[in-house]
Amino acid sequence: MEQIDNGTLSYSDTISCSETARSMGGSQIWLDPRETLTVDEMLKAICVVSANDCVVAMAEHIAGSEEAFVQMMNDKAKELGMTDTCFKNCHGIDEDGHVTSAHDIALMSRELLQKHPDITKYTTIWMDSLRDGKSQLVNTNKLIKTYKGITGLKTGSTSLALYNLSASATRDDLSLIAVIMKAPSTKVRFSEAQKLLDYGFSKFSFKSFGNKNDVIQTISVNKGVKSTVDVILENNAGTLIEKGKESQISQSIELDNNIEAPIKKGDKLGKVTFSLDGKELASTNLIASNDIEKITLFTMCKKIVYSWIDLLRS
Amino acid sequence: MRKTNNIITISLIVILSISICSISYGISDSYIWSLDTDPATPVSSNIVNSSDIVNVSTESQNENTLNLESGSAVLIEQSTGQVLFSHNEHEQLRPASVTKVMIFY
Repeated sequence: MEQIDNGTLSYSDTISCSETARSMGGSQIWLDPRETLTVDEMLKAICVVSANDCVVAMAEHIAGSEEAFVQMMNDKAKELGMTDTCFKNCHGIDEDGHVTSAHDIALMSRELLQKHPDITKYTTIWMDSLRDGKSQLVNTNKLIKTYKGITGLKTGSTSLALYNLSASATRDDLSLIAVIMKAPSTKVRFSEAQKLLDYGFSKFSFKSFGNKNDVIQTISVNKGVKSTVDVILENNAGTLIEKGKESQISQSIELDNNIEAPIKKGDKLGKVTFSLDGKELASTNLIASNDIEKITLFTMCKKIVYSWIDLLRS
Repeated sequence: MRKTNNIITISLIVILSISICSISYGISDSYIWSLDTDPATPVSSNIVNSSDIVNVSTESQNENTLNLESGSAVLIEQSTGQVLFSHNEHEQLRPASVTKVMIFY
């Protein structure tokens, strides 16, 4: 998805299948070395039916070889702080030393959903087809059909791993990720993931206070070509809160006392903090919405002349 | 004839006792995981020994207030990453196809 974002890869690029990819085993769509699929079709096959042959084909296309791609995966895992993880392959077929933890799966799921939310276009597909209808795809994640608000994400099972699931869902403003590993059966993994999500949605809500770039206040500026500047939220402001306590949240705004020009757009001018019972829940920086240049003698004279002209007109 | 009947009766009782014992061990929900190359012990294993459980912190065991059967579980809020529930969340296990979440980058 990073490569799609930066233009290196596009959804319509075609990918062919090597003998290695074709011989993967496990879940697959039986790629033929003579056929090519687009990136869009491969992503569909991977997200919906977990096709191992497509994963290897894509890995080879992106990195040249599966080994090189696995190295990229491990580098990214390290960058994300996934300290319980070591990848030995890109598909998840049992291999000694290929391990991770529920915590690390949650970390990488979160990173994917926050940075590349477009992936949910694929992960929420219940049924689809490839090859002009010849290959039918039905999602291995049964919660896609049954759980209100489900957005993904990925199932996994082998005889040794037993049954795993990373499930993501959004209701109102609250987005949760539940990870289950080593469930004794497929039924238990879905019911326990659902139990976790239900617990989260029944106990918590997400209180949103404003979006990035919302104007909070207009404050005065000394020695500037303009006398005021709008102060805006640097990021979306909101906090997780236990249900029922939303109205008890208090908000406090701190702004610098003496704002003096020159100011650059994005300069931090203060912050807004949200608290409950004296305990801080979240805070967001307040920043300048635009540049304000320092006033000079020339700009002051210009200002005076314009004021006179306005006066004469009115 | 009587002796044969006795032998059969005793054998049946022994077999029945062993079956009852193995069933009661089989439904236990304790997992055994080892970091060495031995595969994970399947659920139907008859061996349950708490000293064999490695890499499981005692704090996490006590947090299973939702009584989950699964080996490990975690619930997080997506935008902040805040952990809302965890059970053995750092236990190293085989991900199977959940690995593929990583390839979507």
